[in-house]
Amino acid sequence: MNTDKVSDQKTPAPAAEQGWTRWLPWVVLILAALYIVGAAQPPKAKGDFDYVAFGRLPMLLNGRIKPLDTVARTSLLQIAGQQKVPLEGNGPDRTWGEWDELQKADGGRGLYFRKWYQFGKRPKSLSSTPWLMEVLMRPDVADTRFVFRVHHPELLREMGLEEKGVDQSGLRFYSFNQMRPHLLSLHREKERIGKIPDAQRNPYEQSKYKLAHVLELYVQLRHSLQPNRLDLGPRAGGVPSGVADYAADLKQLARDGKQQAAAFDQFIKESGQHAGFFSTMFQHVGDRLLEQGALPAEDEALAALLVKDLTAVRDGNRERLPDMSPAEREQYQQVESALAAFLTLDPSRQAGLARHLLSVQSRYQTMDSRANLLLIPPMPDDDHTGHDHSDGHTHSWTKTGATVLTAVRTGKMPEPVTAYGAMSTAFVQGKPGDFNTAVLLYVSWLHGNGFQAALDKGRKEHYFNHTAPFARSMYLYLLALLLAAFSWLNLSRWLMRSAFYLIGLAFLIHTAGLIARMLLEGRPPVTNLYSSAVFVGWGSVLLGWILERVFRNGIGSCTAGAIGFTTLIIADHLALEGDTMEMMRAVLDTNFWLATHVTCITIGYASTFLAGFLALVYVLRGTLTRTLSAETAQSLARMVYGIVCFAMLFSFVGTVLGGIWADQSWGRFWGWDAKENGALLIVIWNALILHCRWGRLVRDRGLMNLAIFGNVVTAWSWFGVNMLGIGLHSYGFMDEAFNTLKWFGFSHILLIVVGSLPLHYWASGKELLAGPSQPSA
Amino acid sequence: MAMNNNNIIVKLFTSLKLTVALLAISLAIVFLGTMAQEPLGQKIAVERFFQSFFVDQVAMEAAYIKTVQIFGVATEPLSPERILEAKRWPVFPGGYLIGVLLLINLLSAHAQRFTFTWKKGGIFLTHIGIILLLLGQLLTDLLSQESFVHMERGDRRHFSVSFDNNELVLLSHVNAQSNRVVAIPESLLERTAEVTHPDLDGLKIRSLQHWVNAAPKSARQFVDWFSEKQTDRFNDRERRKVQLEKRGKLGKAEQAELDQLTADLPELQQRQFFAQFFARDFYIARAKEETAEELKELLEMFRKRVEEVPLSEAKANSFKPAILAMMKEWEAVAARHAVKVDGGRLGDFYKFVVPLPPALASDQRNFPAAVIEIKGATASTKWLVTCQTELTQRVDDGNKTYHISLRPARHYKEHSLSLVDLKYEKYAGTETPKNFESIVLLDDAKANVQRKVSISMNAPLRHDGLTYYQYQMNQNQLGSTSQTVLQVVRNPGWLTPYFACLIVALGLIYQFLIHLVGFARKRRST
Repeated sequence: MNTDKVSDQKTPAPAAEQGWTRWLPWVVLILAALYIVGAAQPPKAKGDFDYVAFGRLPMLLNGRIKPLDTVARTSLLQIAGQQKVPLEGNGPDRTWGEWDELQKADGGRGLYFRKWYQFGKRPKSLSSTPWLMEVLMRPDVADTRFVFRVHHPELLREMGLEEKGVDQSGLRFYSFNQMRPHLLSLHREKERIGKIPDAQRNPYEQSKYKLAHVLELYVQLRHSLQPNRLDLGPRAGGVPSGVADYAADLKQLARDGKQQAAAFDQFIKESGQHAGFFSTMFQHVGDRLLEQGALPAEDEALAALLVKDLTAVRDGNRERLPDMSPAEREQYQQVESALAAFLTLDPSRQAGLARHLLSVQSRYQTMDSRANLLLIPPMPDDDHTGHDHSDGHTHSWTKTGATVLTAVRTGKMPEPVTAYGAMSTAFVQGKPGDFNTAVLLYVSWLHGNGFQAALDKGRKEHYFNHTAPFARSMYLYLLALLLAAFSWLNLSRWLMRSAFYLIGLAFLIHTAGLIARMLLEGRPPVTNLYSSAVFVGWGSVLLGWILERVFRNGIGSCTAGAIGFTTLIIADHLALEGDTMEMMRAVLDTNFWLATHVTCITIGYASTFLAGFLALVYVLRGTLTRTLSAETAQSLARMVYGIVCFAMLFSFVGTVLGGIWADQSWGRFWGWDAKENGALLIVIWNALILHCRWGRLVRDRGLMNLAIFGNVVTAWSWFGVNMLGIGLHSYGFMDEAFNTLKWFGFSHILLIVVGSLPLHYWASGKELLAGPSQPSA
Repeated sequence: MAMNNNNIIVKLFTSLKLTVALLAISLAIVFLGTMAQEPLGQKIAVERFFQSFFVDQVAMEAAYIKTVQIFGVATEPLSPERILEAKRWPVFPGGYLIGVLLLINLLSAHAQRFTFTWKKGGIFLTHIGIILLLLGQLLTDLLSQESFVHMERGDRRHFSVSFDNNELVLLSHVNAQSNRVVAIPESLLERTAEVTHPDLDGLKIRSLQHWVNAAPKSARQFVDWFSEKQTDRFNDRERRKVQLEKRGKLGKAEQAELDQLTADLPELQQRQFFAQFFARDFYIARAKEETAEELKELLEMFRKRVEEVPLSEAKANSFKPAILAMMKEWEAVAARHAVKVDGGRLGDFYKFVVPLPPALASDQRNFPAAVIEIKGATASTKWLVTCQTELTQRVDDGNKTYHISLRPARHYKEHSLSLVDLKYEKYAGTETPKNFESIVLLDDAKANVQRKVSISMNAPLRHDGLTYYQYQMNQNQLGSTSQTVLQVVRNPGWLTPYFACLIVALGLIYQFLIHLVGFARKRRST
């Protein structure tokens, strides 16, 4: 057999390849490299609005400075599970068009996305940053986008949405407008479900919780830049929930706000009421009044309207009094006293207060309490350390709402707020030139005020997001895997060599991505589950590539490709949980231990997986094809044995370093914590394999079966123990992942059964029976 | 070593087959012990699986329950009573047994089979390390002691408190400078025998009632607790009803349950309603004055309330049977939980003791309580003591005065720590903690040490055989961080795993390199 002869030769013989096929691997490599070069080009905005520049703007979320682009990507991933929002698709009668048009027919039923076979159709779509821009600045448009992914049938039935929304092979996508009527009940349900431990939630509760969570995220984004209204009540007047001219609003606030605020403060002081409580109360009043149309201009009329509305509320409350819980009663009394204080004022003062409360206080306070993005950098003059923000003065970034409320009282609006105001006005009014200028001006302001580091961070992370090195290498790994697998079918040398080159290229990109992440985070490679997947892949690919370099029989490439592809797919799914560069809890915040313990243990995982996958190659090739000769089998056994030794070393050292870390931070070397036990399982399993081998209790095939089970043990330690909801360092529950894990386990056990079949059932059985049967340890 | 090679026992204990079998069993124990951690609580799971010679049937059941649970089979959770049940029998080998067998296996194999060669030097080293590791772990289990120090700014502590053990303390003044302290371990309160001590001058103490974990309650707190229970009961059943109704298709048993719920709910709702609005005032009054005409007074008050709120007469009347039923239940519950003592600050305030399930989770502790009788020279008095409060009570016996309290057991040290400052930082805009740090003044007159030390996550303080770790930061009611909690560990064997691991790692690396070199050589020669 060609492959096996080659594998036994000391060096590959290029002479075996004849003519033009010699150049094919180079052609493959060059094509792949061109693909990478293409992907690495700096991004350019398609269309007039420079959303790329907007996406690079730095802000603070969850304790770290990042570009708006990252927020857009991670948010859209969490909400929709993908990074694009298609604007076109199929109507119920297979008509193609934009959703607005299609929705008119049949009440918006029966819509579906492009099917895979509709090759001719290229739907227009929004990428993540333009989508975020709509959410921030044009909520009325954003609310119509089909982004909320729901697939639990019972949940859909409950909301009466089964036939609405847009279908994508069973998954359904809904717009915020469709979700709005259920927002409050979902929010309440989230609180209830939140009290149930993760592991005890059923799938229905999990999807409900997830939906409520992403809706909350959307609402937070929607309140981050400007005071958009949520419009939860039935809307009669059709007042838009967005802001028509935010820049003008801010200008007016800076002009008149101070006086109105002083009047409000005066009233609060005199009446002894609680300012925040008053604002909340007026938030509801404002919502109700705005539903009936715009506010009356005359003070008298406005005051009369308010008094009427507020007394109606009070009377309604009194009626419900007997049914209230003690907590509600307390709140009720607060409302009564607040109302009484307000009703004693004369109408002109009532109207004045109402205007301040409705247009400033309650709007911006609501905005502040609901927003999640800290968009506004610390102002140069309120920072005592001078103008240097390079080390990320993360604690002093603020939300827009709070900034505006403070600014109203001083009468001076900070530049970042007005800059975002100008962007919003330009975006709403469709003036790309103005928008791009506003972004540029803001960037230069940041430059001039000591935020170079933040800008730089934003730019680099934006580029990292854009080039998506892990996704690129994932595709290359897949291609390499296929080439290597095909090389066994027709035993073609050039395919094998192409695979080898491709793995090398993909590995380079994988490494570049890993280093870029480390630089962006300022941390060792593994900091959370996501990065552990990336690193496990990296380590296994490296080992596989070295094996291929030594043995040159395609097995190393095939395994490297398979593990590289699988782990990056896993990482891709883990990214759905949110920001992958999240901040680390106090106890984990140590680069030394992350660099030693976590890296070692991850290499241990990687090599155990590699051994397992090599064993899979052995069993699958042996049972399904005739290509497994006795020599290949023997070299595979040698590889697996060596890798298991290597895995034993790293998993043991990693586990022990973990113990030492635990001794340093928790006061015990070993606490039988779930994650510790998981690591211990791998060590014990590897020790067991080696002892079986040394004791001649197993031969090659037994070794393979044990190594396959090693995959199950490792998958369990890596993911399974996180799903038990116990232990000091669990990463959180991932329900969907658990099902995958179950199937992973079952399929491996099945393969072990297959691997234990007597040799004469194997396709390669004859070769194996004929070959040397001495174990080669 | 002179051993008969053909002896079947020697063969068994030196065989690699035994090693493999033991490794496989330890794999099972580790897996099951991990699964059992949630149902049993981590501490108990570790004791039953890893720190015992055999695993008992209850622990196995817990592991089984969790295992089928993650595969989607809902099972009844284990009750704390069942977990702590005394009747337990061994069903599976435990961690200690496997550890001991592995040790024997290793030692005898080395004595019998192994002859030292450089080629096997790595394996030799590795095994020595493993032996050290196993022994070190055993040493830690046997000798290590954990306790905590709670401090606020400016506090000075020369003792730490235990997490699990409590003691009844009698403190008497000897002179202006010193007190005499007699501490009686809680375990003695679990029995009813009389306890005495030479330092107590003939005072005798007897435990009349003892609760492992309990919440003492004043009359008002007790009423609140009861009405909350009513609300919970109503909410639980309503939720169940909604759940059943939503399902649509029901089995026979489920249909019967739904019917029962539908029938019961209105009454439950009325009781809940009643409990919240009307009964409180009445029962607080009753707990104070012990009036006899309960029902009459209640209905009078009820009618008055009905007039105050817009509620129809018919609705008010329909409440009557539900109220009566609840009153009866209330009477019984109150009688069951009432404690009668002769006074003291606690007895005057707490009229009831509500037992709580024993704490299982590793971060929860028990708050025991007891009613004790103190027999002095002149009189015999009854007292309520509880760990829920740090208040002490004054007991007078003739011309002697004692201050009694039930409190977590203390470990006194020869040095002291004073909290100078503490830091609790979070990442901006999040609740994720970034840094916990306590700055303390360490004062040890004997060793002539006085220095300021910073203790933070990953940076403990080691002094006098003890290690202080930053454990928690607690916030006061105003939301500012005011209390730090340090964990104190005394573990004389803490260095063994460091050495053991170093040895094993060296051994593994050595062996791995030998294989690698051999492999490379083999390849070159082919």
